[in-house]
Amino acid sequence: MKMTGAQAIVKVLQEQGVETVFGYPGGAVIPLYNALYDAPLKNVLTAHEQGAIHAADGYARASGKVGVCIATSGPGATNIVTGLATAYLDSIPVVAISGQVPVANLGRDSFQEIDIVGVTMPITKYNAIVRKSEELVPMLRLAFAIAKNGRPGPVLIDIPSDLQVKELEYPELEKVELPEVLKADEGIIEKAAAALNEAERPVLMVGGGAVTSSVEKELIELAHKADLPVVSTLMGLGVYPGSDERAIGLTGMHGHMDCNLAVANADVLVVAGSRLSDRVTGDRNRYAGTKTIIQMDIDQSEIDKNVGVTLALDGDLKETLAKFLPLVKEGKHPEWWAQIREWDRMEDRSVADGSRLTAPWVMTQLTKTFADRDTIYVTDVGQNQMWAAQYLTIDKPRHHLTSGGCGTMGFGLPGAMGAAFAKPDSQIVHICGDGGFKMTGLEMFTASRENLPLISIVINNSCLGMVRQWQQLFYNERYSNTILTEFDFVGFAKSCGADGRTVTTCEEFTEALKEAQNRTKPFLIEVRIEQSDLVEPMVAAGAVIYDFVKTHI
Amino acid sequence: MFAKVRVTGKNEETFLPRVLRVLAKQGVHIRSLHLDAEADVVKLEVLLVEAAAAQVAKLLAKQMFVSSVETVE
Ligand SMILES: Cc1ncc(C[n+]2csc(CCOP(=O)(O)OP(=O)(O)O)c2C)c(N)n1
Ligand SMILES: [Mg+2]
Repeated sequence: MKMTGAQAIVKVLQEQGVETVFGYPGGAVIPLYNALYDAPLKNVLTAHEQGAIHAADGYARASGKVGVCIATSGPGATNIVTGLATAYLDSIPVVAISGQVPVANLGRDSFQEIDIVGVTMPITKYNAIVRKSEELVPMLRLAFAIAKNGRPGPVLIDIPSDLQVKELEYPELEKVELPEVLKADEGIIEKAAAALNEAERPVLMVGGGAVTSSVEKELIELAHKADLPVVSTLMGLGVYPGSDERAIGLTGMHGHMDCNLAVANADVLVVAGSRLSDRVTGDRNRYAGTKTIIQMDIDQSEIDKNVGVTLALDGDLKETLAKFLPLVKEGKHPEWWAQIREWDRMEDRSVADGSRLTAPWVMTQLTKTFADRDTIYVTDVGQNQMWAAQYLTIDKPRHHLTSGGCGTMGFGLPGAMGAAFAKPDSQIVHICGDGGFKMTGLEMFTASRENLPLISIVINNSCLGMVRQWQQLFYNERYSNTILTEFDFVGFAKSCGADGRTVTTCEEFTEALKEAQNRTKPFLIEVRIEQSDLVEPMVAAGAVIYDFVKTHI
Repeated sequence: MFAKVRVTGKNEETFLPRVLRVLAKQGVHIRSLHLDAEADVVKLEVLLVEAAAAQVAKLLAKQMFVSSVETVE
């Protein structure tokens, strides 16, 4: 069948099951937008290309499907760079289509010509420019296949505008050849099970890889069978139900005391889909100690990368766990649990007791209020993100979305918008700070125009809180450019066509949260809290994982 | 200390920058580099100085269109 390149792009999107795309038009994608004009696809115009790429990412995180983003050449393409990096560091399947100058103008510094393939090479799983019409469809199909195969990641395909206009013969669907995913060595699986069966102080750590591999059932079976305390990295939250009694919570720089101490004192640590990044391990040279670490990961280059492990199980978690589980014996560890409960009591959680309005208290109220609704939390970056990770209870995978690896301020709102398109029947709650909101806040206009009933919780501490926290603790309270002045968040929401309330007490918050529900437009709640509230516990960067910063001296 | 890495892959326009980018990100110094391209296949032999060759090889192996990586210490 003959058609233009642009029509072929739309046809590939349909063939791949894409229902929604996020983007922004411009000179180099006018032909593509022309084909999208009457295509049976939802084409969402964002306020900024960064919003489009984060929305595609949020869509992918919430649904498990590939998110799609479109940008024009030059500044359009460079505006998606942060979003590609965000998706890359969290292994999220996104396909970005950028327009490019016509083939004949390539390499001449033409108007809006940027070598976006060169720019994004280190932050995409794969990228390429299409130089011939006949390459267009196979390359796009390959892009989708690569984005979701094995360890997922973002792929960028750069398409010169003349190739969008030129006619081509639409090729038949062919099987795409992809590298094979390794399978964990059965001998090592046996050794790993034997080690776990003999463990006295075992811990299971779940990471983002467990979400990708959809092993929530297997993890519950494993933890219950072997009586394992379960800690989660930021990326793993929800894949093991937070309300299960064996879930002890977040581990890492802002991990709970019992979680970090359990990891530090474990004799066997099973790591399910985590790269053990510096934010998880603290001092990586003192992380392993004498414990046996069993690392399960689909990406061989993650094994031993940050922490030398004893038993490496490289392969898809689902397959590895299917073989591992039958070899694991029923176990009970009452003494170990008693110790963990004792560590838990060391942590002062009074900040969440409701005696004053704090972010941790807000998180507990959100959890209570939305316990009976399918609720997806999308968080931004900073103290707000850490309070959410510590104090929300997340019971399902893909229900806590956040920029973990890149820590991208501004991810939250567009990410939440993408999640809202992916899961129209779920309640989407966006949580951010007063700084991060301003980075991509104009997407409130997009969300409002699209009638997305998001609830946006802006934790306003009148500062770039997380940076201020470091300045307080490690830079002699020299608050260099971190104290923020007044901003009318509710007025801003209203000017975007949404609504909102400012709250300064717990009662006002409860009222506002009632008002925020069952609407057809976004609703913003500005939660004014103390500037001086800190995220605790905290382990300083590079310190050993149980060396908590003393904040009250 | 030197390590030799042999990379074989598809003769794609970004094959070489992809390989070099991986090496650069790992802070690896290159002593010598030899490339042979034939039709669809490209073979690259790189002599590295003081490299964590095992990790470099794993990172190269996961680049799209790299079909094999061998390290000779
Ligand atoms: C795009 C980007 N720029 C800068 C930073 C560094 N940074 C990390 S947290 C933070 C403060 C965030 O302030 P706010 O959004 O108000 O959240 P809070 O920490 O106060 O909850 C900053 C500036 C970042 N993570 N991302
Ligand atoms: Mg703030």
